[in-house]
Formats: sequence, C-alpha cells, structure tokens
Amino acid sequence: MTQTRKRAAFTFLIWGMVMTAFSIIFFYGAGPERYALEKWRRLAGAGIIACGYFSYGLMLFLTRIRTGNHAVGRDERDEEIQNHANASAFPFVLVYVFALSIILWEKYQGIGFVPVGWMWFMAYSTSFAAFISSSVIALILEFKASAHGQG
Amino acid sequence: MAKAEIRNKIRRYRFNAGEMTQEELANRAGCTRQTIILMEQSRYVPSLALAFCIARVFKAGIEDIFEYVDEENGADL
Repeated sequence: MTQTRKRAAFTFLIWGMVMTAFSIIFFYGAGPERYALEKWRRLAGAGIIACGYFSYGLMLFLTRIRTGNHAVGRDERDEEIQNHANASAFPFVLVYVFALSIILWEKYQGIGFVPVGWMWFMAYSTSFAAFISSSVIALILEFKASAHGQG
Repeated sequence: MAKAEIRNKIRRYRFNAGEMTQEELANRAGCTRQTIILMEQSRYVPSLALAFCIARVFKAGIEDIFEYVDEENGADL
C-alpha cells in the first residue's frame, strides 16, 4: 500500500471518529443551545479534538518514509494526487461553511440570534470537513489511478 | 489542439533488459512500483524528468521509449 493511500485512509478514519465523537457531545442532552454554557461539554469537545490532532500527528510520524529503506515510498504521482485532493477539498470546505451558515440563519432567524455554541461547532467541523474531504478525494484518485495495479 | 496520448514501450524495454522487474526499474528511476504499473497500462503520463530517468535506466533516448500520438496524425515519430 502506498504512503498516499495509507495516510488518506487513516486520515479519514481518525477524523471520521473524531467528528462522530464530537457530534455526540455537541448534540448531547440540552443540545447546541447550551453547549457554550456547560463547561464539561466544552472540555470534552476540546479533549476529543486534541486527541484527533495527536492521533493525526502520530499517524503522520508512523507512516513517514524511513531513511535507508531501499524502495521509493513516494513519488511525483503521489504528490500530484495529494495536491489535487487538497485543491479539490478547498471549494468543498467553502461550500460547507456557506451551507452551514445559511442553515443556521434559516433555523434561528425567527429569534434574531444564533446560540454561541454553534461557533464552536463551525470552528471544529470546518477542520473535519477539510481533513475528511481531502482524504476521500485522495482515496478516490488513488483508486482510480491504480484499480488494476498489482500493488 | 487535437486530443493526444503518450504511449510508451516500458514493458518491452524491461523484457529486453533481462526481464527487469518493475520494482528494480522503479528504484532505479526514483519512483514507486505503482507508478511503473500505471505507466505500462498507459494510465499515467510521467513528468519529463521521470521520463528522462526511465530512458537513462535503459540507456535509450526518451523518444525510443515514449511516443506522442495524436488523433489526426497518429504516432509522431
């Protein structure tokens, strides 16, 4: 398995789990309206995100190209896939932020304000959207470009 | 501009080089084996730098291994 595919798969797995865990905490009990007021939920959310970044960093370290390894682990095609995935994820993130903003506006326009807890959700979920979309696109590109390969 | 394709004879050159493995070619050219596999299947067009590296491994000219083909004129050789 190439480094690109490994990293994309683990990124998807890590941030998929982090997103699920954070969503459970965020929508738990009194829901988004009281998220900012309940300190334990804010701390739990921050802890989950910290675990996510730590796991992500660890994954990058463990999947690095070892010096002294004879085989080439990453080449121009991997760079091309990664660059394409990052570039394609960018508009997805823009659309995500725009769509979430509009949904919040639609939901709360009647009361005239958005509960501040949603700002946490938007901040964190933008990271999730970026990591997950980029990894999914990388996996698709990698699959399309080596579906009949031997490796 | 007419639709074009870059074809290659990497498989034949590997055969002529004593059935050189894809792994060996990849290591000597500085790319991954998956890239060699995809090039042989004409599913990936290498950069000029990588094309030169591959040609150098086989001690051949770049145009001996890679050919530019467009719909209107066929092989441009």
